[in-house]
Amino acid sequence: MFGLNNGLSLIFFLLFMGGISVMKVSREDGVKLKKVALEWSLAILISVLVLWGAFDLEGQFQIINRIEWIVSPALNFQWGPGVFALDGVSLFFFVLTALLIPICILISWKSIKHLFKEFLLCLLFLEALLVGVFLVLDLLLFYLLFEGILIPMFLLIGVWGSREEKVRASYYFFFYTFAGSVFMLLGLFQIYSVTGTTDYQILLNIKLPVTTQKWVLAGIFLSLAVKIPQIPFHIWLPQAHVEAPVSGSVILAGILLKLGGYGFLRFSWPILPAASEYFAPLIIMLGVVAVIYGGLLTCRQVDFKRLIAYSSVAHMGLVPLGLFTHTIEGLVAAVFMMLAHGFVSSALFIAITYLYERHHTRLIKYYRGVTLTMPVFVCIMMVLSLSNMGIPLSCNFVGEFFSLLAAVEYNFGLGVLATSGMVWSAAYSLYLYNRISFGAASNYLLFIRDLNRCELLAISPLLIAILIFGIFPFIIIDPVKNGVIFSPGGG
Amino acid sequence: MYTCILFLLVVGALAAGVGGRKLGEKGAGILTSSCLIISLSWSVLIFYEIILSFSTTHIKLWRWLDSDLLTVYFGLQFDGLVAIMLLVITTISTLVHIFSTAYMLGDPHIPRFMSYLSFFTFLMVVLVSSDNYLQLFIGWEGVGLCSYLLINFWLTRVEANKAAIKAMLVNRVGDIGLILAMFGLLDRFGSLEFSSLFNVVVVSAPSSDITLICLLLFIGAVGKSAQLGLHTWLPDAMEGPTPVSALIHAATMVTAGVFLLIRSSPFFEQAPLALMIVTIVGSLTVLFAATVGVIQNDLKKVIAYSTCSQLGYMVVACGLSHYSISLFHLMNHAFFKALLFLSAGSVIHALSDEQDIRKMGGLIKLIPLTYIMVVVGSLSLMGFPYLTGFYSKDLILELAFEQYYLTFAYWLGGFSALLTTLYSIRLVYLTFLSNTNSRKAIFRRVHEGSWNLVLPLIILALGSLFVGYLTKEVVWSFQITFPPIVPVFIKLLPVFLSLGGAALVIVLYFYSIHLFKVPSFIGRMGYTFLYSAWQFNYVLNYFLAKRVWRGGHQISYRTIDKGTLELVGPKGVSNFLIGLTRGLSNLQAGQVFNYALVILIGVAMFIWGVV
Repeated sequence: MFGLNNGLSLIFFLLFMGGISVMKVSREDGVKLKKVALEWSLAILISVLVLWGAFDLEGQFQIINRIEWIVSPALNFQWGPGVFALDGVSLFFFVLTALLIPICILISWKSIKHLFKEFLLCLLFLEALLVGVFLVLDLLLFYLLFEGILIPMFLLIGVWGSREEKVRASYYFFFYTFAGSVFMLLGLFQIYSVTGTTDYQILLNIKLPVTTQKWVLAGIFLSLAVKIPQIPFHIWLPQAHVEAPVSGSVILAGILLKLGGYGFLRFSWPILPAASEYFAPLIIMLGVVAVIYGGLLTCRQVDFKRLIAYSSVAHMGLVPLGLFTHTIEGLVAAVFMMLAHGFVSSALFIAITYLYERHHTRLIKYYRGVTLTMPVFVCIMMVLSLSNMGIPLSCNFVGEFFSLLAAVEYNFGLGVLATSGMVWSAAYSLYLYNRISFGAASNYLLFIRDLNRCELLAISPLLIAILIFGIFPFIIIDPVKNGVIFSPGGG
Repeated sequence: MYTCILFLLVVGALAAGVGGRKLGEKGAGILTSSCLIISLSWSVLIFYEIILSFSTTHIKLWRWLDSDLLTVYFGLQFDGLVAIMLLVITTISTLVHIFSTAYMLGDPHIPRFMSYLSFFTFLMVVLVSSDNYLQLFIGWEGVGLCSYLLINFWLTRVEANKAAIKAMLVNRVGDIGLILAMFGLLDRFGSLEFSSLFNVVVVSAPSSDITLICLLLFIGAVGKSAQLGLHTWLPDAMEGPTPVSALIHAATMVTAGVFLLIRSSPFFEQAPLALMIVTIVGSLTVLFAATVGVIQNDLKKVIAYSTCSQLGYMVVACGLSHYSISLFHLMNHAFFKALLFLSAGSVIHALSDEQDIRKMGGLIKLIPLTYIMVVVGSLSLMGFPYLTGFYSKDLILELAFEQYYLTFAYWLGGFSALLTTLYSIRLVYLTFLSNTNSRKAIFRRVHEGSWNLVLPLIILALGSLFVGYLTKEVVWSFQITFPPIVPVFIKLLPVFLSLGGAALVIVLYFYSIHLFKVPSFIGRMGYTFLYSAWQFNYVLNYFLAKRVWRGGHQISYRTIDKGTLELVGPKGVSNFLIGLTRGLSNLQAGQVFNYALVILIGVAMFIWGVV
């Protein structure tokens, strides 16, 4: 009987096999290449969903896989074992990753013209790394995978990006991420030198000295804040988004930005509680600044990809805000907000790319009256814009409501400031939507067909997810809550 | 039965929206209208069960938000307030649906329009029938969304686009108030359900927290009900089709704010300060909107400002703690204002989409039925004795007089009653009675509409005549209010003021029209001030929005994001490194004395023991 405990190994095995089978297909046979990759990624998605079904909603770490990694009996030295496991928090990021990869393949069906095989391999490699990073319970392995993601992502932006600017964008991306993670590595070394282990589950039960905690958190913060992206470290994001191909944007907005919040969720309160308490006001304040400053920035963009990228900055500001208030609402809000943003933002990028592929400009001001030529697209865009502004019954609302609630409970004035983000988000979402869809038909926009079936199929899972998790949010909240409460120091 | 009313509405909306192409223009109209008629009959049944048979109902649906400390269920609560609101909403909505089938005839997007209307009605029902604030917020945002879509219905018009986005954004500012009030409630009472909150608040001592919560709730109401400060969206919203104005911007959605005040009455009862502010803002709105309405030239804008003013009366009634009277006025207002808007629609329809009342006139001979409707609606609006408006409006004024510390609400309201008459009679005069100013080609085509255009008007006219008289005891029973004892003079004053206003208009327009010909400097200034609605738009745009916008661009985008952060970040680092390497490579220029110098320095440092 196939034991559930092998579930995670199965995912990695499928990823490996997927990579192999893509490699075996000839480079000339483009259609088969796409089909093979799509089939394997769907197989992975299905097995991930099965794992979700088998997941025990009440428990904490489960489906644990151990990998004996660096073991040297002669030196009486052991690093690891690397433990891979799921809990309520990582489960949904895991699902989100598996969901977005097939979508990425679908939306690149026509748009990627050269080196398609490498592109697919890149995506699969990225998926493997992402799955790993969300599952692993060892700090050093986490770091390795976290950094490893840089490589395929760097390639995605640099090789398959759209313009000459892409080199600079990938440089920005690399610069910020790498400079940040140096400090994280230092922090991890510090933890190892004090405790002698990097095993997360052991670290949960160790109380680090307060001074060490502060230095470690400062280091980790620099690395994770870049990923979130927290406000002074955010300028790589619009660059990267604008230049990346659509699948790159989707992965970047959908999953990569979640790594920062996920890292905070894992490392801040559970293993560095005193330092988190110490730094909380600073980080919360940065979150509020992100909401207001990011909102203002977003309102003034004319390039729609950049607009959505800045709106990500503004929305992701709510994540550390909720997280560092250290209430159940705040922690749930952080996870929910990240997931909601993962659905909405990536769907927005996809939708916008559909428009871009038809008219080849990203400037909002060139568009008007698209409703007349592309009604279906405009309907989808409306749902997405509304979710982006956090209208009730969309999943963004749940996240936003909880994180603002946490902010208000933390400090009323702060909550009022953070709540002003509701107006900004409405302003830029509606500005984008209104400008593109309404107005008289433009002479300069040639009549072009509405979304085709492939495009509709690619975006619809995200739309469905937005609505389902907005109306039945407890599907996500219950496991997340349990995961958050059970981890020591987490509730 | 209770959930069916919601179900039907959403089915109608989805069928017309998604399957509109299959149903066709006529089919969509018939389908949604019949859905509405059925839900109307059900809400009559609900009215019977709940108000006449005293059996309130509470239905709990599934779990929505849940984080252990905060649990919110979807739930429906039907009590007296809800039953009356349901009746008003479904009645007006049904009539507007029927009206629209005629009014929008020939528009290719009728299914979409009907779908939006039905969807709006659904969300409005969600708003009124929810059993907690968060679910109310769904309806609250949802009706705002539908209002956005419907204002934008003729989407190729830039004005409509601007008005729509403005409506949504200004409402959003109010929504912040509601959201913050919810947080406050959660913080203080740990729940959002009406049943638990109201039971707790009655026994809790008045405190500044409750006052704050009430004020925040009131900000929400100010946004939705277009009270002074956040009212700017309502006149602009007249860009939408006229049935929309009748349903959303007169009868139902804008009253949601008043509904919120009535719903939260137990809180406001614990916060006298908040009540006072509510009264003050309400009475200022009454005066403000009435003064502006006198000057406007757009047929629909006159009625829109009138709506704003009447909403002020409702808010004043809430501020005086007479919630049932507020509800009563809400209901009466729904009838006569919907009548006015729909007959305005009929006029506009007859005149081939002309809205400027200066270009109308003489229509009494061509569309006498519409004339009768407008007169009935206007008389009811003025509070002509024994018509619907009289029962609630006069009562509000008397109640305002009774509150000795806030008599100024009475004086403002009374003066506004005069202004109300002024603009109503002016509207009737310019549209129907004066010599015509419209073009011959248009004028010759003026005609009454078909039966489905006229029928709703007649029903609403009957409502405007009799609803107040028939239902006053029923609505008052929601919260017992006795007519106050005031001097006869005070009781009669509003009526006299109204009659005086009517007389004034007649005198001005019939006998001394030349008074308007050469306005003095002050007259022109006053006219401009009133015509531009006390310059609210100008102030908000130029002193607030524009500054924020410019700040957003120059400070946050150009100075910080593209300036400082780039220089400190990647650009600065790469420039620094390039500079450094260039300096270093310059050092190795192949000149011997450079190398000698380096060697010398190295040796010197070695000797000194630095390295």
